[in-house]
Formats: sequence, C-alpha cells, structure tokens
Amino acid sequence: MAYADHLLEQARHLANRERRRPRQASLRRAVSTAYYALFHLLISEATLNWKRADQRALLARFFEHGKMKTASERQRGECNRFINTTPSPGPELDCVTHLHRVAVAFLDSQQQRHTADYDNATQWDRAEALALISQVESAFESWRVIRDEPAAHAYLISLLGNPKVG
Amino acid sequence: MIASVRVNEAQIAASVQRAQAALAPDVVRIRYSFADDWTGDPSIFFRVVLTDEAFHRGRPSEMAERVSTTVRSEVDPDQFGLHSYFNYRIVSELAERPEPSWA
Repeated sequence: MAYADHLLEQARHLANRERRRPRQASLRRAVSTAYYALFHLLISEATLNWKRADQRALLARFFEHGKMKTASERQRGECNRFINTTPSPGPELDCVTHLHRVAVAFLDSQQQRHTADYDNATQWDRAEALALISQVESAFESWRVIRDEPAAHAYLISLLGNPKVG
Repeated sequence: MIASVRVNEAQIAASVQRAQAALAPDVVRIRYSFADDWTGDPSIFFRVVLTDEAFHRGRPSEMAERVSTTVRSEVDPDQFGLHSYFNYRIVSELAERPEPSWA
C-alpha cells in the first residue's frame, strides 16, 4: 500500500478514533490528513512519469498548493463545459466525470484542510469529517480508473503551474 | 456581501431554496455565507444539514455529490465569480452541539 493510501486510512481512523464525543484534534487531523492523502496521490502519480526514480522525491517538492488549486479550478471548469454539452454516454464522458470528481475533491479538501489547520474558531462534527473523507476516497477510486488516460496526465502536468506563453 | 464581487443575493436565496426543495427530505436545510477562501478568492460556503438516515444510507460521498451538483446547478456560483464549498452535518450531531450558523 502506498503512502497516500496510508494517509487516507489514517484519516478515517482519526475520524473514528473516539467512540463517542470525538475530540476536535482528531477531527481536524482527520480532515487535514484526507487532503494530504489526495495531495500526495496526485504528486506521486505525476512524478512516476519522471524516468529517473532517484529524483522523484526532489521533483515532488516543486508542487505547490496554490498552483495545484489553480490547475484544479481550470480542470473543473473544462470538465463542466464538456459535461454541459450533454455528450453521449461513453468512455470520454466517463473519463471527464472521473476527472471532474478528482479536481473537485482536491479543491474541497484543500479548503477544508486550511480551515482545519488554522481556524480554531471552527468546530467540527464527525459526519462533517467523514463526508470529506468519503469524497476523497471516491476521488482515489476515480483516479485509479483514469490514471492511464491522456487527460489525466495533462492534469498532472498542469498541477506544476502555467507554461510560459510564446 | 463581499466587496470584491457583486452578487444578486435575492437570486441566490431563491435558488438555494429551490435546491433545498429538490433535495428534500434528505436535506433538512441549507445555510450559506460569503467569505474569501484560503487564497483570497471570493466564495460561497454552503452548510448543509442532512437527516441521519440520508447520511448513513449509502456512501456519504454519493450524497455529497448529489447535493453539491444540485446546488451548483441551481445557484451557478460561477456566474457571480464565486467559488463554492460545502460542509455537511447531520441532525443528531447538531442536536448535541447546536451552532447558530447552522440553525
């Protein structure tokens, strides 16, 4: 099992750690960990395309949260535009639907992670944390369906930031 | 209202009501507020109260996807230049620890 899967498993463990009255610390760490699970899944998938395995960890450090947000917003918009054309059912629509799910889960979990890590005024409930973890789990499943698709790899590259124009 | 975007609050309120009606009885109520997200982008934050039964019926992600798709379709936050985010709570947990912003 890979690191990202371990993080996701840990997120669920933390959300269910206390049988009754979950501690805020457990729920906040659960939310934050769910985001990092998806963050590391996408980065590890992106760096797998780098031929030199010994440099992948270094390459992974070039990914930035803000740029990944921008790329995910763009991806979500592109998916929405395609879906709104009401295309016929088929592999292309399936791929776009899965990619949309991944991009949306990334955006949602990233914002939640920021609140969980930095906003002490916000109190969390268990269902709230579990809903987010479930969303990230669905994103993992969707990713595994499309991980070899060209559109998925274009998304991975875009997570590094905008290419220079001209 | 957030300063950096102009939103039609009456239009949004009406569309949220439509979404809530479409999602009943699984969705008990939907509340929302405007604020910037972590990168400073103007956003709308939806707080969705679900019945316990709806939350536990299947995978929470399926319910969440159904809710967010319906709400985004009705409200269309993109037309106002708003990002949209969703939080979900269930009736029994809110009863134990009520919060005015979710009432």
